[in-house]
Amino acid sequence: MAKYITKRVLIGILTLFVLTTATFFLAKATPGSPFSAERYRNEEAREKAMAKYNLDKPVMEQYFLYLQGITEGDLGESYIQQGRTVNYYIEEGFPVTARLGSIAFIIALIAGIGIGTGAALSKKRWINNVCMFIATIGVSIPSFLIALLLQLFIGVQLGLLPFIGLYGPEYYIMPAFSLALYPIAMIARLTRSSLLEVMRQDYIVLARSKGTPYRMVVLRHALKNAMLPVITYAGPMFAFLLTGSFVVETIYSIPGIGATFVQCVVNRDYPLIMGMTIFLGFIIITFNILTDLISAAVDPRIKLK
Amino acid sequence: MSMLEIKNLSTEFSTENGTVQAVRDVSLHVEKGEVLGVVGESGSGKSQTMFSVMGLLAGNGKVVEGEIHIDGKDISPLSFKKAKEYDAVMSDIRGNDMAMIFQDPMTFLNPVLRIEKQLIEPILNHNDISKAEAKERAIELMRKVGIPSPEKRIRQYPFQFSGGMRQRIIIAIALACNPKVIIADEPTTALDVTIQAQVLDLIGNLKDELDSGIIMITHDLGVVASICDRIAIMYGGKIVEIGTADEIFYEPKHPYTKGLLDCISNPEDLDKKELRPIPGSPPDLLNIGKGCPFTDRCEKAMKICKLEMPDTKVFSDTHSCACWLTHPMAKKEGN
Repeated sequence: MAKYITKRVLIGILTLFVLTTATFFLAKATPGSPFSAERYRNEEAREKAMAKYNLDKPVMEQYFLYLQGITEGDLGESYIQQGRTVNYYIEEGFPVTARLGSIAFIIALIAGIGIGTGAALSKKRWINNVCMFIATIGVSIPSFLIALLLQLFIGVQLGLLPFIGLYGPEYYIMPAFSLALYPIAMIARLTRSSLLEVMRQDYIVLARSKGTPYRMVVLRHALKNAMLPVITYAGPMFAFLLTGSFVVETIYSIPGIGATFVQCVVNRDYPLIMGMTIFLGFIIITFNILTDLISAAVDPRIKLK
Repeated sequence: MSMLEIKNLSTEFSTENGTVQAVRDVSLHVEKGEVLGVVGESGSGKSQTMFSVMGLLAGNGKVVEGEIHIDGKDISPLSFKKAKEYDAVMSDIRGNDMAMIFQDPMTFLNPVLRIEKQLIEPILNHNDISKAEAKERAIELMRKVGIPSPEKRIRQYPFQFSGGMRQRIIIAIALACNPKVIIADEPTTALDVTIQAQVLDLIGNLKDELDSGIIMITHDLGVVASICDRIAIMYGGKIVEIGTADEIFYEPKHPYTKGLLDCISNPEDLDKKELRPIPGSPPDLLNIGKGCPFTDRCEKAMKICKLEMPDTKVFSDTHSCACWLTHPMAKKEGN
């Protein structure tokens, strides 16, 4: 187990290194720069700025300086908002996005598994139909549309919920739901098909033959087996929610990391682009490792080697 | 009183192609300390009879007629007005008064739960005791079915056990509450021959130890011969012949029973006796005629066989058979 985790962490670090290298050289290869002659009329000021960001040095030296910075936990400084470090943006934006993403994730898990289980086990046809209708809607409506519609109807016209910023618990409801809708639908579908499959298995018959009531057969014997595909999906999905959504954050004016990421690309703020990419890469890799560990904990047949 | 009594049981399955009459008018009983073998080929309805008794039929299956009594208690699905009432009663009975040993040890244990959890479950379901006590009893059961170092192995998962050991676990689960009736559904079919013998020995020993009635479903007459007191032969959803082991082996009346006996290989007279398979294939239970289901494959079939189901003729207290050949009007042959 410890050996497996060490191995996965080492591979993760290697992946991050490759990601860093690729991002760095791609950024270098991109034509144009925020320090172009049109923006800096004063040649002296331009050179000073270039020197500040090590841009006067050879590319390889810049690369090693950048790597050195990363090992010290320093992702550099923004080109545009001078004086603001990349770390500052992450420290400011990530907690906001992470809180919203976690809430969305919890909603998605509870609602998704609930809807999927209901659809799979209900003997009434209409319950199954309603559940699957929700699941289809959730997959097919894009998040920007649902975010805008919620904002318009529930926020503006009905005035039920606040819809700008995150200043209290009720502010989270609409953006979290907008983020959660797609995962709810996916998890509901996965849960339903997987649970239907599991309920047909022989070990369910054996569990019933022991006199275990139906409800306990589902809870104790079926759900744990049925959750495996859901876990495989939910892990990376959580990472995705933590990295924020530009659309939802922009619509609800949330100062999160998702909006920052898109803005820095538009601004060609290379240190910020690279820093964000590496940070998001780090989150995704971490969650992939966690997903595998949780899967192995649920299903003892999965061997971690 | 019989431990288990089944009277005129019929079970149907509704499928896309129509109604399958899997079990047709089956009557059986098992006494205390007795082993009843139920023999028949795949699709003869032997397993579905037992699933009907246990109330474990698949969703599209339904008992349409008949009575089931366990130790005098009525558990016929048709006696209950609501499915919920039946389920509640059966939750008490299953695993407690009546338990089942299943066919395939590889698929009948839950892969993600420890043996401990699966083995203490029936004990906790039917006894008011603590988890620790249940675990002690579970370890005792594992020892009884011959699993070495049970204290250690109870913490393991099914995939860490061999097929034979898993079948022992399944047997231990069935024995957990000293059931009055144990139904063994082809308990050795999925095992190697050497393991088969071990598991049969185990069941044979249990028979002497316990006071339960055991029903042994199989398609292997060799298995039946070694441990069964009485044997019921099923074909096309019906019981065609039933008798003590001696009566079935030495005085078979039904052509199908005779056919089955001809299929047993005996290493001693291999060169003398030819193995004779029964020609043809089992009847289609989707649209089965009125007559004897074996007619199409029967060498001695008469006109009447296809038209009407023969009455059951009684030869002794224990031996009876449903075949037109046993009718006084049938032409006697020197068989």
